[in-house]
Amino acid sequence: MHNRTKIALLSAASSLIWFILTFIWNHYRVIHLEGEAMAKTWGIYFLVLIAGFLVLYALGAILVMTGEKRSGGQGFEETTDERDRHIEGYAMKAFGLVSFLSFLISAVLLALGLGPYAFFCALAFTVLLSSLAMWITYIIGYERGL
Amino acid sequence: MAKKTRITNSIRTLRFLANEMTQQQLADQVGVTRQTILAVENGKYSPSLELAFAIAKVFDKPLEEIFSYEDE
Repeated sequence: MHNRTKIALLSAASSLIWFILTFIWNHYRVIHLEGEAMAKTWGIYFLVLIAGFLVLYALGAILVMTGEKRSGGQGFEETTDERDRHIEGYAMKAFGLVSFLSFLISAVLLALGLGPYAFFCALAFTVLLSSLAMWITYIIGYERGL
Repeated sequence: MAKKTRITNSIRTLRFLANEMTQQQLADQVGVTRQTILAVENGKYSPSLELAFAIAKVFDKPLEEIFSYEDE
């Protein structure tokens, strides 16, 4: 299995777990709030969510590359080439497309009058789904070919 | 199941004929990773023209002797 597949698998799984944990944590914090206080709490939640995703990705990369180095591989010295850039292009497209569509759905929910809670929930799912789309594209790209 | 490209190649055979050249040796000569050579050999990745010419140059063969395009 390609190193980047391992990193993508780790990141996807850990992001999903982090999302579930923080979503439940945030739900109990915002459920009784309204207006500015609710918006502020959601803002903090989004920062925690995204920071967690970045930290988990970094930890996954360190774990995989360190393991690779120990088993005689190149580790972080591994270079990227045209195939990596090719797959990265698809991953970014998937991220962008899912982000756009999810944000559109969030806006539709708001326009339908479902309220800011539904809008913020949909935005949280936008962050999760776009990240997952990116990692899944990496996995497909390296293991199946694009 | 791996998605196969319509471009087939004889890199594996040519490596064998070139004193059993390893994928890593070929990768080093053309400036890509071993994983990319593996993906090209298995039909999981269609190389760029630049990479295809670089591979042909290593084996000193014309491009069409190494790569062929299969009609569906």
